[in-house]
Amino acid sequence: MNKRAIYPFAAIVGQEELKTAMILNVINPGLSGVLIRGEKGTAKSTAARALADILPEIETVLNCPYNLSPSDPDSLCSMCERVECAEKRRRGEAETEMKRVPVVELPIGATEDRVVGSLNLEHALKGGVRRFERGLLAGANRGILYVDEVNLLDDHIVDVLLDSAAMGVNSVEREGVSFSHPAKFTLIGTMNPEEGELRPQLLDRFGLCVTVNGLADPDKRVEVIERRLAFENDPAGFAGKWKKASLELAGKITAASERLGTVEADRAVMMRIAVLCVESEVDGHRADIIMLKAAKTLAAYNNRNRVEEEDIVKAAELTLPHRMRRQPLQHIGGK
Amino acid sequence: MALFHQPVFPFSAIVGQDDMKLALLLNAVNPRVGGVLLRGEKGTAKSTAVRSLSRLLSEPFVNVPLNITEDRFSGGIDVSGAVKNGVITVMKGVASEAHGGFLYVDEINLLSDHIVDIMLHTASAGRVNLQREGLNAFYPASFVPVGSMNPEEGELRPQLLDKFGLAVYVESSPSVMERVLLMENRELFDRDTEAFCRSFEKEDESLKKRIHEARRILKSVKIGGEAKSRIAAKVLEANAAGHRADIVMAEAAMSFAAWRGAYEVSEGDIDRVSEFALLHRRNDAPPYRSEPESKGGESGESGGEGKTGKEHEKGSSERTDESAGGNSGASTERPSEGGETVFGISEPFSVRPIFSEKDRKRRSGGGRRSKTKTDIRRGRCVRALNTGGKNDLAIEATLRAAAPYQKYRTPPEGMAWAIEPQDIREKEREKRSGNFILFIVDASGSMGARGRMAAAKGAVVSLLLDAYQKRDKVAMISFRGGGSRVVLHPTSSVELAEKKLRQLPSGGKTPLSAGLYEGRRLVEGYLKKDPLGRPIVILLTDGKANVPLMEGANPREESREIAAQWARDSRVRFIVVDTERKGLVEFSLAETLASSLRTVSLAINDLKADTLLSAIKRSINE
Repeated sequence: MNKRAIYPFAAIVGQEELKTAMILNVINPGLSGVLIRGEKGTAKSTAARALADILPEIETVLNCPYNLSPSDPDSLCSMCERVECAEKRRRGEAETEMKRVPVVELPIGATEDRVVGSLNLEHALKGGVRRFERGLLAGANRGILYVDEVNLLDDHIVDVLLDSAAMGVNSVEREGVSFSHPAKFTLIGTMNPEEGELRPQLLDRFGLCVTVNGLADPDKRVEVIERRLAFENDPAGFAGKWKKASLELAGKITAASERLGTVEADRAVMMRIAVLCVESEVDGHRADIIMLKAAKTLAAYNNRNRVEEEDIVKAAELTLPHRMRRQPLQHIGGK
Repeated sequence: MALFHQPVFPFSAIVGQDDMKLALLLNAVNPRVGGVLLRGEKGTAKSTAVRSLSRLLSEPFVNVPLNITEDRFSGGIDVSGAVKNGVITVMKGVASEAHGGFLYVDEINLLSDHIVDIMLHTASAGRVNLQREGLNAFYPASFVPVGSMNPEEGELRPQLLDKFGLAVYVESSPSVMERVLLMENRELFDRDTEAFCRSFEKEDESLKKRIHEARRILKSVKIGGEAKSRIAAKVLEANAAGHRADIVMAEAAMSFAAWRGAYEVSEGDIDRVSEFALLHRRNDAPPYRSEPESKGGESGESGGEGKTGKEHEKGSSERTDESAGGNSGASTERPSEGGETVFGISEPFSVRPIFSEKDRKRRSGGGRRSKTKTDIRRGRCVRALNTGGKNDLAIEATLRAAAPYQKYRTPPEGMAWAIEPQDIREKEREKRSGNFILFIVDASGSMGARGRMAAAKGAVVSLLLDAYQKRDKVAMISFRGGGSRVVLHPTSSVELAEKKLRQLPSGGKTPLSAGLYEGRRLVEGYLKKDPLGRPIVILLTDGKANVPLMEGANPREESREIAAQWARDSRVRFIVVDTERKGLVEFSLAETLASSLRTVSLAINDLKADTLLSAIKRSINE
């Protein structure tokens, strides 16, 4: 990503549900993403882009294009062109680095070969060598894949995404290349429902879903104008002013990630979740699993080691609305 | 670009069109205003103004043609470089040429939706993110997008409308003096271009200075708390979605203050620019009614002085129906047969498949009803062909084709392969194309009888469900009382369609001709944008026309005539759903209409049965 100034996440006015859903995903990548639905001009894309601001760091093999963790199996490296790196890993001498969780943006005009990867043309032409040219999914491994206006994506690109999201692996069989690499990513998508719906299959892949609306309070609106103008005027200065708030939030997220492993959910909690899912007639069991994870993450974020009723209620609000639809024409979240 | 040296009509010499000029100047001073959408009539110096303003500022001006492909817009692979030198380079597109200047699209509502998406995305990001055809590149492309459109030819999607910072309604000047001055200027320009341009040099020069001065001042322009509250209040009052209107209005007001040479935004500044930010975002009435003239709308009345709704004048105001002839000129929407009612929707059912054969024409657009070959370099690559000219290289197939000859050829310096033109293979891509389905719904009073309207709505919802699964685009027109109106412009959102349908009121007389006329106009607008599209028109009516388009005409004969004319357009397929008919044997007015449209009429019950498919197949084959 290039160095364009990013509007600070902490400076977004209102939209608490949206912010919570994104923060939960940062704390716990197991929540498998968030879909942000809403009308035009409601900070959907701004929030998604701003997320980079508060992301924690992960440990990876030095300069690894797939962001592999040192604990990933080294067999993955046998296919990689970075031979010396594979050699080192086999000997257990791989160097590592700390880097920010990567954010990869998938533009709507992207073609399949650039998403999954394909034959490297230049090497084929010059050296007559078949070499894999990495696609966007490679860099998104262990990171965030962000799709603006995900409902406008071509169906066949959606198919590819679903495939990788389901398996956590990207397998390429095209143009004489046969290759696969890990592709575990958190999917963040924005969409305006006026422009058409997502396929239920893809909808279900998003762990959480929030609906955003414009703010009705004139004072809040003025605040939006103020902050936006201040940011446009002096992006660096504005980010500086919000630095403290951003750091605090990032700190809270790190603390929550550490606490997450210790959060307990007893049988009663699971019963409650199961009942909620049965009552809302969701398909499959993904809702149950995600809701439990979300409730635990919420507890961790609120500095607790036990899941409480309020966590479950909040988690239900984030996990159920987009899974409850029985008919394509029934509205999500009843709104 | 070569155009750059062509003589351009001087900006200062453009007569009138103050709003348009101001909106462009606000963007020139402050590009964060985010572009202008010029809505309105043709021949109002729209492109001239943009061209001359960018010439005046010595900034790039790029005119985007409607047939542009994605690779020419954002950039694509340089094929000759790849094959000749084995180097993969990006051939940048027009987005990059427009960097730092204006990007102009005439008739943007006819440009492919996908390209408009990419264009406005690029404009707001200020750069191109190219992830196509093995290319991975970012390059700067910040430009002011300017689009022009005549709303009568079809709307832009609301999401895209919102991405244009400002919108201006452009119309020809009503002042005789101005029109005369305009003609004189044009004459002088044509007679002696150079002399004419020279005579405006001074004015252009001072305009340029003023723009540069305003750009300098802009950095120090303050906007107070009260001004911001005023902006928020205006946007709330207009019920515009989201916050973009607020931010754009603030930027435009600051730009205007700077243009005046003031360092603080005044109330007047906001009032001057607020309409520019709200025209295309206002949401008080049904959307798509942003023109001040309010053409069409709920009724399409207003006795004929409307400047844009010529068809509507014919369509509705000259109505002379037998019973209510006395009150012509009054609002035609007044229900003359009972009151206005909103009927519910009967239980939806699953419909039989309509039209699905794979066809041989190349099309653009996405969807799932029919598989189609595509020329726009999207879709899945299905095979490689030696066709040439599409610049869509299938590298693997090309290499395979060249392989047998490598023994006999000498590769150029630094290359492993010798590839010759006859080896080149290009990709043939396939994607499913959605159809475009237009529902023309009779919402007259007679449809209220015996649950017809509820049944009709149920049928439309069932067809919508089917359309959803097939990724079709849908649009809806209703006719009742004195005229017809477009309830829903073409959209992929069947949810929006369902919402509009639910709220659709009925009552009043049956202006069937107006409904057909409006439908034809909409379909033709759609076909301009997607010439290879295959629209399906589904007409739900009992056929009891009683309001003609032309004064004194027999409404039923007239509607049949219009139907017969339309039926000659072989690109369009029709289905008539007879809302009155119960069984298969009864003869009805809708059936007569259907035969004029060279199709068959179906009872609502038929939609559920296997008969639909066969009936439609029969209707196409005949």
